[in-house]
Amino acid sequence: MRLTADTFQGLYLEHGPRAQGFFLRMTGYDRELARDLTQDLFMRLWSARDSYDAKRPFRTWMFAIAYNMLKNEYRRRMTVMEYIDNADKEEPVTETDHLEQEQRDQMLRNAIGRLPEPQKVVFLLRYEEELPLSEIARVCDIPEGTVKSRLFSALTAVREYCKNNEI
Amino acid sequence: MDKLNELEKESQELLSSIKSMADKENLEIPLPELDITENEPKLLRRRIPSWVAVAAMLAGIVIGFAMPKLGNSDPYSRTSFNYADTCRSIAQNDVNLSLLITSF
Repeated sequence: MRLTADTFQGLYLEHGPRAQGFFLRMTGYDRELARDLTQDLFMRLWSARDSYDAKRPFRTWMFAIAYNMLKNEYRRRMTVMEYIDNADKEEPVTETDHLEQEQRDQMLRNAIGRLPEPQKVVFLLRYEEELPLSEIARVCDIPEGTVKSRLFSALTAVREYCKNNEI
Repeated sequence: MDKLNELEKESQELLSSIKSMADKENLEIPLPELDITENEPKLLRRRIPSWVAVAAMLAGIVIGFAMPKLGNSDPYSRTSFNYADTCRSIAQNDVNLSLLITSF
């Protein structure tokens, strides 16, 4: 099945926010960069629509290209460590009724932001995008066993961080 | 049951907090405009092979050397007349420039 402009616009509206959120978290909450990458991603997907295999989920194709773009972005702009440093920058928490929730979210952001990039990507794809292990393996081009071991290490590290910084 | 499944079960509360935070963040930033058309990418993909570009350049050089007097050496030649006519049209703002460039 060839993607038409209308179908693609529908896919953009459905999956665009998820791709943008993924970029946002992978780039240490750089909103402008996340927006640019999202736009670039969907232009690339549209240009490569002839290679889209309709038998496979669109999101696997989308995240595979998104992850490749991120790897290039890491190489081009800055090191992974700088992204992690960005993620560590505490956003000022305003005095609101949801102060505790905000602080908890910030702690989670920090915990995930501290993960090394290979662990972070599988963590986000699994627990935020809810992709099955087989799809994550395809997106990252690694064996399923490696996905599992990275997830285990990542989840252990996040739990540990949250335990030590519990609000 | 493997160790990962066990750890995921123990972390249910933490994972659901992470998921709901992500869902909230996904909707916080408006999506950028996406301008796509059916034909545009096809045009972008239609690239000229390098050998065609080189051949065209060489042909241009050969023609340039072989016919140096093809230009407006004679002020009353047809080429010069057309050139002057076009210049006058431009001056009178009476010509579609993009069409003119395409025709050249």
